[in-house]
Amino acid sequence: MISKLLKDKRTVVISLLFVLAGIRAAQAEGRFVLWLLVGVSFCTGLDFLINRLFHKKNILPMSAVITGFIVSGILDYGQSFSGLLFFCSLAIISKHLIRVGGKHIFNPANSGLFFATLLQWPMTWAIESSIYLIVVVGLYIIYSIKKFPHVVGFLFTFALPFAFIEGINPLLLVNWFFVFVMLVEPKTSGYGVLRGLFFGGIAGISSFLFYRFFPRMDLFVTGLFAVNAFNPVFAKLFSSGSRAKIS
Amino acid sequence: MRKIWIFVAVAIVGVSVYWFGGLPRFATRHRHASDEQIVKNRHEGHDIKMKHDKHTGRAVHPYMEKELGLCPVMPTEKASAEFSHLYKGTTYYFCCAWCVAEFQKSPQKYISRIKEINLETFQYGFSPDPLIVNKGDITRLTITTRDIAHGVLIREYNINVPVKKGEKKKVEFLADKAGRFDIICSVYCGPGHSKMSGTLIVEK
Repeated sequence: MISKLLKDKRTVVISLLFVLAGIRAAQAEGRFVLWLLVGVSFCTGLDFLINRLFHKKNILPMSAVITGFIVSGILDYGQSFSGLLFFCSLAIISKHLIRVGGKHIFNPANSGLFFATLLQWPMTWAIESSIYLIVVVGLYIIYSIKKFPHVVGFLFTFALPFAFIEGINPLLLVNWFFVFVMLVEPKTSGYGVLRGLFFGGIAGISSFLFYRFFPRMDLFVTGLFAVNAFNPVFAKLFSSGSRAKIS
Repeated sequence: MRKIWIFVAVAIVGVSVYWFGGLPRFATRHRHASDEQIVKNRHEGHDIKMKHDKHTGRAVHPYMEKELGLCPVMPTEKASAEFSHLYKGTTYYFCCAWCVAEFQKSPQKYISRIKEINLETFQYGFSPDPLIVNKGDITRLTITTRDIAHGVLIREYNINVPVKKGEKKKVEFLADKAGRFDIICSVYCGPGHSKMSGTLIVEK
C-alpha cells in the first residue's frame, strides 16, 4: 500500500505539503488554515472544471492540489482572499493557456506567484515550516525523479555570486522549499544531466540578479519564471535528453 | 502560439488596470491617497505647479517628489513644500497655512507627537522589538538592515518596504489604531524567514 503511494511522486509531495502546513498551522493563526483551504480547493476546482469543459476529462487534478498548497502557502495569509483567488486563477489558467508543443512551459504555481510578486504582494513562505523535513523528503524526491543536476546547477550558480560578490553565506539564504519542491517540478524542468545543469544554473544566476537589482521582487519566484521562459529553447537543444518515468 | 499572446495580453491589461487603480487594491498604493490630496488642493484654490509621474503620466504635487511626510498638525494630510516653518534648526512642513499658524502657537505640543525610530532588521528579527508608540503619534521609521535584504510588513498600516544592505528607507504613518500588530519580513531572507517577526504596540 505504502509502496504504491510512494510510486506516485505527487502523493509524496502532497503529503509533504500537508505535513508542512500542519506544522505551520499549529504555530499560526486560524486564518492560515482557512487561507490554505480556500487556495487548495479553488485551484483543484478550477482545474477540474477546465479539464471537464475543454478537455472532456473527469480527473482529480493532483497537480492542482500541489499548486494550491504552494500558492497559498507562500503568499502572506494576512492579505485579502480576492487576491488569493486572483493569483490561484492565474496559476491554473497559465497551465492551460501557455503551452508550447502541447506542454505547459511555466511552473503553474510559480507563474501565479510571479504575478503576485510583480504586484508587490508580500510573500511570507509560511509553508516552509520544517527545513529538515523538506531536505530529507526533497532528497528522496529529486533522487527518484532524477533531478540532481537541476539542484546542483542551481546551488552552484546561486552560491558563487552571493559568496564572492555580495559576501553573503549562500547557505543562510537559500530557500530549500523552492529548491526541492518548486525548481524540480517534473513537467517544466525537463530531464537530462546537461539540461538540468543549464536549467538550474540559469535559475540560480537569475535569482541572484533579481536579488541584486530588484529586491522588491521575490528572487526565487522570478528566477524560476525567467528560466521557465527558456523551456522551448531547452526542448530544442536537449531533445535527446533521457526521461525518467513519472507515474 | 495565439493562446500565449492572448494570455500575455490579458496579463498586461490586468497588471496595467491594477497599476492605474482600476482593480480592488491588493497591496499598498500610496499613489491613490496622494491623488485625493491633489484634488483637495485644487478645491482649496491653491495655484500649484504640477509635474507628471513618469509611470502614470498623471499630475504630481511637488510634495510627492520630496516625500515630506505627514503634516504635524493634521496628520491625516500630507505635508506640502508650500507650507514650512523653521523651528530650532529643523524645517517642518505642513498641509496648509492654517496649520503653520497653529504650529507656531505651541510647537512643542505637535513636536512631541512625532516619534522617530531607527528600525534595524536582521536575520531573523527586528531591533528594537517591540516598537512602542502612542495612539495619535506620527511614527517615522528609518529602516536599515544589518545583514541581507529584508522587508518590513505591517499589514494593518499598509506598510510594505523592502530594504537592501547599505540603504536607509523612511516610512511615516499615523498610529491611529491602538493594539498589538505583527511586523513581518516580506523579502525572503533565509530558512528562518517565515518565523521572522516583531511587534508594534500602539498604546491608547
